[in-house]
Amino acid sequence: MTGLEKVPSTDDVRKVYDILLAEKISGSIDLPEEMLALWTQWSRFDPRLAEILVEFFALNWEKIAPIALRKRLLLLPWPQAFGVLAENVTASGILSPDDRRTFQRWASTILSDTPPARFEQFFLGLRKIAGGEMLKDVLGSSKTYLKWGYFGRDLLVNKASHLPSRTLLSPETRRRLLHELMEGRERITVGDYQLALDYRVSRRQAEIDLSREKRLSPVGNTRGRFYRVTKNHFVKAD
Amino acid sequence: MSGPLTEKIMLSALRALDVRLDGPVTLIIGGGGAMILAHGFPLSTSDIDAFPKKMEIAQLDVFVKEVARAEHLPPDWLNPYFSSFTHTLPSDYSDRLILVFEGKRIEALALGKEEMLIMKCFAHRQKDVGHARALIKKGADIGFVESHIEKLKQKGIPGCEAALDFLDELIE
Repeated sequence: MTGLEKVPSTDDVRKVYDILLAEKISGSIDLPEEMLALWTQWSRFDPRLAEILVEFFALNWEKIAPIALRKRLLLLPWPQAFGVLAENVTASGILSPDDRRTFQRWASTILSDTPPARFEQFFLGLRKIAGGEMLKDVLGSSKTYLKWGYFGRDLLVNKASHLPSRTLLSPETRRRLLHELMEGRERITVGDYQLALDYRVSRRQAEIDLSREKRLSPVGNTRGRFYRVTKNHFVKAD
Repeated sequence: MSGPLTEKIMLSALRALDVRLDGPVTLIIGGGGAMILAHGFPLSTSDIDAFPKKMEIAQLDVFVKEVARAEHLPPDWLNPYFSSFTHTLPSDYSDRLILVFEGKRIEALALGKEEMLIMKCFAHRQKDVGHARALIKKGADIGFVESHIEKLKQKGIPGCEAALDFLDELIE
């Protein structure tokens, strides 16, 4: 199957961390598009590298020539990998709404006419073949991966500083994960739901989802509200 | 050396890899390599799709590159990329693996007929029709394959409709 000729080693990836950290500290960019393009491919082997690249693109996209990057990506086996990173930049809370729109146009220029991948795992070598986690990646995939024909759940941002500003899961996926969360529980909160979905649902959407779920009865009207799990939707709390 | 990898070249490359490794590894082989080594189909392939267990893929790749240089093979003559599609396989796929090579360090196991057919259904490429039919002629359990894809469809795995349509076409 087509791929990179060489799989990056741990040392290869560590060197990239160092380079990108040095660029971040210095505030200047002197990285050829050829290297950036190659590292987007390497990100499929290393989620930490993917996260670092998302932040790098979010902070430096205006300094990167889109056509030059596009030309390099098209020489590589997985140009769609850049698409996943770009979606994560858009989904993160790093850019202002105005900058986000301009960033999306910049990324669209790079990825124009690039077809999605053929529905495969984004990250390589990290899951047991046909295992439970691999299946969860498929069933709980975020839109940031699905748009580019990949399966994946990881939010590629440093969650402590940049939670996503929008919902990244389809209604069907959210419903499935909510029902899994409700199993064996007597009550859940909006926070429980967001945590279970790894913060890939906005608070507003989370509130809507819980209020629409027939097997949940809201208790309280303030931010301390919780939802009682009923056995069937005909039984309501007092 | 350029050109497709034959069974003889594949086994020679695996032997060359075996003597270089510094630890045990199990290789799970799919794709064209499995068709040639386990299921006896002569076809043209330029690599062995193999995913390592008990060893990191980056670690294995160092030795793969050594063998490539020594045996004049393409640098990615053995690569793990098919594993990104293995979410479609049954969790008990290992029950049907077929031993195709055993060295001092390497145990190479190819996917069984049913697993190969499942993957071809999900790939649903025209160029796979011949091989998929051949797997069925060799005794791949169509009922098992269909039932497994139906279960994946119930779970909501994308691509199941196309996979079932592909299987239907093969059966007719």
